[in-house]
Amino acid sequence: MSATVEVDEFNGASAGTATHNISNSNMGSTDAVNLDPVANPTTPGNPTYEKWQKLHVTAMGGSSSIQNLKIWRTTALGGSAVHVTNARTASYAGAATAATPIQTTSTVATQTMPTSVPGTANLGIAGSLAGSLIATGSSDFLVHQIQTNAGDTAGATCTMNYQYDEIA
Amino acid sequence: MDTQPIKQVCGVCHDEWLTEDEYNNHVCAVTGFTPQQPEHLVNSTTPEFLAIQQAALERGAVDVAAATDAPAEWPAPDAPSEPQAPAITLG
Repeated sequence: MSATVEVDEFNGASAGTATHNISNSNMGSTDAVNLDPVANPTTPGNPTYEKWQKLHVTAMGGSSSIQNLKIWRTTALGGSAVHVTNARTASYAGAATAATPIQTTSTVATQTMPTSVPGTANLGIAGSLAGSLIATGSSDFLVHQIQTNAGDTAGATCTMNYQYDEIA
Repeated sequence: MDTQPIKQVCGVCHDEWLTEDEYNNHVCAVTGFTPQQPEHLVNSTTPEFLAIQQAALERGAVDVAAATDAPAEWPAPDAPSEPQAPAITLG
């Protein structure tokens, strides 16, 4: 037996609605969980709505600690779009305070999303990259956004990777 | 401090609660399991979750082994002559 971990997404005013165990992280022009990107496309040149997400440990399953959270994206974006996030291995700003997701340029997600596994943790727990969960609970907010360019004509299907270490 | 979400929604059965504990303890009408049980993930969004659990445990084991096997400078080069135990934190 080991820990049970899911990804949650927070939407609406002050990110006040938590949807647990999301099935995708589709980005688009509406603040909604599991959104349909075809029905909610992003106009080239605009950013998508921010995503506010957390890793959520629903049960420790006999393990003592969940730690070393690493977030990255694989596969290329469409056009010359840029994927930005608050996740970072250095100069981590601490836990982001819940806020309503926005479709303007994010002031929280300001660093390029890694495209390979980071060497060290890049998302904190309780505001620290060295933090750990020893009981049920959640990570800090992972905030990310895709910023498109006017010349971008196609989206892309990418994979978000959420990794953690577990101490028995 | 984060604002506690007002509404907790199960992404699988879409039932709503006011607290995370209520969500964690509900038996999902779609999966037949609570979110605390791996079967809830396996039967919904993450069929490969058992492999993910195993991989996470193996990474954690490597971390502990690395900490345990780290060469201990005892005494450290600049340490006082009185021996001091190396600072090793096990998870």
